[in-house]
Amino acid sequence: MNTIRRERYLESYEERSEIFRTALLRATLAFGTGFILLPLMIVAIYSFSEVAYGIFPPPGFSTKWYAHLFAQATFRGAFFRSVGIGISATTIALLVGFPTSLALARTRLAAGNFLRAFILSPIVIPKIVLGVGWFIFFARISLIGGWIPLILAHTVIVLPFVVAILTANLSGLDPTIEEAAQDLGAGFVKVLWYVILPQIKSGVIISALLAFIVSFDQVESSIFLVRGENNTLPIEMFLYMEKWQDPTIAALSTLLIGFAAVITCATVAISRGIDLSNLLPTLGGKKSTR
Amino acid sequence: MLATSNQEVEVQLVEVTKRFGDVTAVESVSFTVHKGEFFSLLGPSGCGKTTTLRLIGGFEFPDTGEVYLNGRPMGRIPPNRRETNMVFQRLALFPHYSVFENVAFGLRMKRVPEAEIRRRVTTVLEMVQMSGFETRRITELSGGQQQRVALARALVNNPRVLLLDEPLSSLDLKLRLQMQEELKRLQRDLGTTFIYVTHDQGEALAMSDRIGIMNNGRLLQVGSPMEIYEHPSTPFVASFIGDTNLIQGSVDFVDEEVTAITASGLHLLVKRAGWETPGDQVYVCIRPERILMNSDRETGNVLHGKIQERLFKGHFVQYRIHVGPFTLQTTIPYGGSNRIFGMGEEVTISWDPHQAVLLQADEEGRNFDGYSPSRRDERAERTASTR
Repeated sequence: MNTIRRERYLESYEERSEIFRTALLRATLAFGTGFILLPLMIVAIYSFSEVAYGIFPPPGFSTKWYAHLFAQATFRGAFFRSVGIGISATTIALLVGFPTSLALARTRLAAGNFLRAFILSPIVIPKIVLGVGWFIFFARISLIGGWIPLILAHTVIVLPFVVAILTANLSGLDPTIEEAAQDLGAGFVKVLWYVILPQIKSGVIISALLAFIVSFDQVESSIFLVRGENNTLPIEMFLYMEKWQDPTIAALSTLLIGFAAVITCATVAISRGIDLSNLLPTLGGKKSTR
Repeated sequence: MLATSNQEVEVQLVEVTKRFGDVTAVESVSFTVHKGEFFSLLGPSGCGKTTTLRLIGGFEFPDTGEVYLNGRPMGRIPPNRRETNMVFQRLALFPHYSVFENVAFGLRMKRVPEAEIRRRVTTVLEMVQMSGFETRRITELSGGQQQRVALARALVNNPRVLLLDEPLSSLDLKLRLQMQEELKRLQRDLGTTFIYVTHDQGEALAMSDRIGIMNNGRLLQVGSPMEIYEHPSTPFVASFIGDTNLIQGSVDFVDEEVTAITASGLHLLVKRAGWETPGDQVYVCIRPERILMNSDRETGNVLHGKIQERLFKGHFVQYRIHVGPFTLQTTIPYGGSNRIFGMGEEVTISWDPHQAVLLQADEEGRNFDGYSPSRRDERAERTASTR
């Protein structure tokens, strides 16, 4: 009799501690999410403020700051410039990063580790140091101003993200699958196109999105390379805020948060394996779907 | 005997050597495979058989020597420009394509017209009994089905030579036996030259026209399964193909037809090999089923022993018999007039000297790795008897 009671007690103890653990986990999750989201929500609410000065909660709501934002040609120009630089830097980083990753994933040489560390180093070097370095470098070769220095600088900064993701993807591939393709008549280029790329396509897409976001977000590394007429969006925002404190920047930030949310959702969808196979090559164009 | 109607040479290796760093994977290997032949490379893991296959397929290139396909030296021609196709041990199917696209891959690479691709893929899938699976994903197939797709993917290209690297090793026994028969049937119907790598002697014996036995990177013997079974060239080959008794001894004297051997006090006669001279260290190789027990037809070698172990195997009974310092294995068919001997029973065993083969022992000091002489481990036995 005693043992049964004891077992029941233990069972209920197990149950209670299970409930407690779940509750603790949920509380931690809620706290973490709140910590990240609340400031963003305050920005979003503030962007609909009726007044120009910083007061929270706002005395009334309006969309006039959004109207004001769209009236600013400088922001529009800077936005498209930032997008253009981001896309260019991402494209170059993919074109350079894919062969580099393939080499790093396949080499057994000691030099491989050194090269990997070198390529990943921009992640740990302070961006402001890189910015100063590039400023001196591009000034020496008289290339300050215009898009080229910005694109090159951003490429170096986003390359580590591309290489880190792609080497991880490529190392996971079974090399005999490539041998099989070669055995069936595929040369090097066809092996790349029909066998390697389709297998790592989610890695390619995720690394491209990440590279774009990192490029879009650059301030310190870019600030020495711009010359007023070619400011990127974050720098334009920084300059605006030095002059004005009205909610225009909050409105812009809210839009950018939405933009980031879309990209994040896309990344999650891709890593969950939603088929975006139309983006990358398939054989013969014929889909064999059931 | 061979399935080859003509003796046209399809694949030839001449003195091929391949090293990986300090390791010599393949050492001076030469052999010839005829058109339409089912040729197996058999040996324990690490013997160099897979490397040899990869050298033929173009995945490795020889350090010295040459591989000829259809009379042409292959040099450093890559796999995509050789008329060979390979079925890989790990199958290596394309995980991102359907069954149809996997099989069609080779034809697409050769820019075969779409209609012909459809026809040929359909035909080959029928041949491997995978019709109706065209749209399935590879991950939705069982091991045996994946095996068939891998085979179809190679066969659809009508290769001159099909290279198979232990393709059945991941299947369970029943499926493996079934696939063996199917492979053999396919090979016969298509007339394609098959080079088959395996470590399973049963598989090699059942399917092959000829077998090449490899060990430590060397090719030890090439011959038909029966030739190798009847006339193994080394103790290793004798013990690797089928069960065997290897009795170590030295040559006493050589007569016209037979040679007399002394083996730890036993005197044995064996068919004369030709190379032996008195004093040579040798092995006498006698297959278990060639040894008679309490027979009224005792001839040649007659020995007395005691049954140590009896294993009933269904259609035959296997005995281990202590004879002097040796443990000999015999197998007697079950049923009919054959009686079953009891444990510990004293028996007379005998065999015809012509049923045994004389083999050269390795140089002094070489270990016995890879084959097991029939000598009893006396130390182990002493410990057992003191208990």
